[in-house]
Amino acid sequence: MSAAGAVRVRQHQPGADIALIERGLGVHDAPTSTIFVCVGDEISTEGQDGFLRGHGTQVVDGKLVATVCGVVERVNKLIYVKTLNSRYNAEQGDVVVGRVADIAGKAWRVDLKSRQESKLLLSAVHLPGGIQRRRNAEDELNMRAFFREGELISAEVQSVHADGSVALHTRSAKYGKLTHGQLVEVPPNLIKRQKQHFHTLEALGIELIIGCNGLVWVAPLRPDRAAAAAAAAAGGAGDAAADAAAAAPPPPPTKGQLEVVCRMANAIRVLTRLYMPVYPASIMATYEAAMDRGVELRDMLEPDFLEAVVKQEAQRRSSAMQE
Amino acid sequence: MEVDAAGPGPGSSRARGRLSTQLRTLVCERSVLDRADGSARWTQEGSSVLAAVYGPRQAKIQKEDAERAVVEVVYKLRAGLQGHEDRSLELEIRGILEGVIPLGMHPRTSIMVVLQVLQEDGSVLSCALNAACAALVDAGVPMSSMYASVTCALTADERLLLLDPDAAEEQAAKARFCFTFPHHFDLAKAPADGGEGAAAGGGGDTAAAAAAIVSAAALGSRSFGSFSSDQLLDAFQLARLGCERVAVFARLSLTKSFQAASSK
Repeated sequence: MSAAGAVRVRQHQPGADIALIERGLGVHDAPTSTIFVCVGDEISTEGQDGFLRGHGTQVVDGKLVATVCGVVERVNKLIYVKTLNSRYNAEQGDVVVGRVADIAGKAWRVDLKSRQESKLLLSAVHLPGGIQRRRNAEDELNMRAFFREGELISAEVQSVHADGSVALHTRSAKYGKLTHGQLVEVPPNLIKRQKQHFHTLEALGIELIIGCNGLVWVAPLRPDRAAAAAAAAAGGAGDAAADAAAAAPPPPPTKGQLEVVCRMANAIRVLTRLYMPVYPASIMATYEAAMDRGVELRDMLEPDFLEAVVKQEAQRRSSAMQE
Repeated sequence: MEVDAAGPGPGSSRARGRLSTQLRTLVCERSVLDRADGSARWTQEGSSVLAAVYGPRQAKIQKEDAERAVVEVVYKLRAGLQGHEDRSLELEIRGILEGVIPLGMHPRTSIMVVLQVLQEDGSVLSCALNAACAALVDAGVPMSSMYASVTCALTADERLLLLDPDAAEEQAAKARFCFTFPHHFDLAKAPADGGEGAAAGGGGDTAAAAAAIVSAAALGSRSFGSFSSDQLLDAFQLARLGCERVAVFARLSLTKSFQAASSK
């Protein structure tokens, strides 16, 4: 790594990023065929027998009306309005990364950067050893031994109640406390819901957790956690051995590992600046583009590399369209 | 962040030919702040207000309401501390926002709107309200309708109503009115739908203008000075016309920002 003494100061130019993207994608020639709605616009439901009302809509006088400005998306019978940026809306089954804000009476309050804080009940936490038993008063007093205030955890959304409050659970060895890694905040609109949110990139020695709420966790791969993740995926049989291994303190990461983690985090930040979807393939493509061009770690967020990424994406899209 | 402008040329004052029913140049910049959920800077030539929206997010326990969202408004002057009038402006703005945001959708949350006055040259309350609307749209906060706000001034000789007065005209006026109207667009009336119509450029402007519908009922009205009921009603009608033009501009500005974003 190069000398850490120099600090770079750049004048903030509003609109520079957009100009960069427009140049790279050649936007002025691109056809604009997306239909967007404003607040109060009526959304046509003609030609549909029935419809499911999704986010950003409300029914007024029998008509479907938008409550936010955005693009109308239709998936089968579900009609919703997708905004450019909004807070995370929890759905059941989402994998999320959150920070413990508070401990209050048999539950942890976890901040998901959503509209409300979510609750992780003591009864919904995976106990070490994989045993299932009733939580007693002693467990309640020892809650801090599990998760303290300010710690990062990964969890799954168990349910969303009618008033919008979210209940989480960590009922598997793969969920739990996250240590020794880097957190990158990404607008939740850029994260697609996929089958897998836990990714182990063994070639790089990296563990990647893409939380649906926009918090992405990058950490060096620990052999014991890799085994725990594999065991959890395979079934609950290996839980006892996995927990014993996870309880041991992790070895401190090496400088090489730290550099790889920082590069991955910067690759995610590049995608965020360019408002491109964040998923393993796009992160790896950006990472490899940086390695191929020999871009230094601190230069990854410079306009030169951003333009190169935009051009690469433009090529990928045009070749995908030609197919 | 996009910058859009509409209206008569820069430096337009009545002395230079701005008609009594003409608005000043409007400029709207969206997504100005990084850390806020939504932000916008609305400029009416000499007056400029920066609005930031934080929310809906978890409200403090003392302030939370189990059944609805809580709207907090902070109005900050360009210089000096807040006075009692600024607190009453905060109340007025809060009342208007509570009228358009469906609060029951987000119980136990708080929506905080911070308005910072950057430049003052008349019609500052209208400027602040318009900035708040643009910032709420930028934040993706659901609203039942957008709104536009415009100020009218009654000249000292009571003969003329001036739309969008600057600071000198406001000082000299006998009475001042600030009206806020909700608006929506009737897409059925427009020849092309919003996206394609605006992309056509000039033709899109007239199409959008034809379809703007300003409600006959005002969301908010605030007056200073003394006036008769006829004068109040005249100002009401004039403000409705002015709001129509603000609505058209807001819609055009949104169209352009969405086109830029959707092409990414």
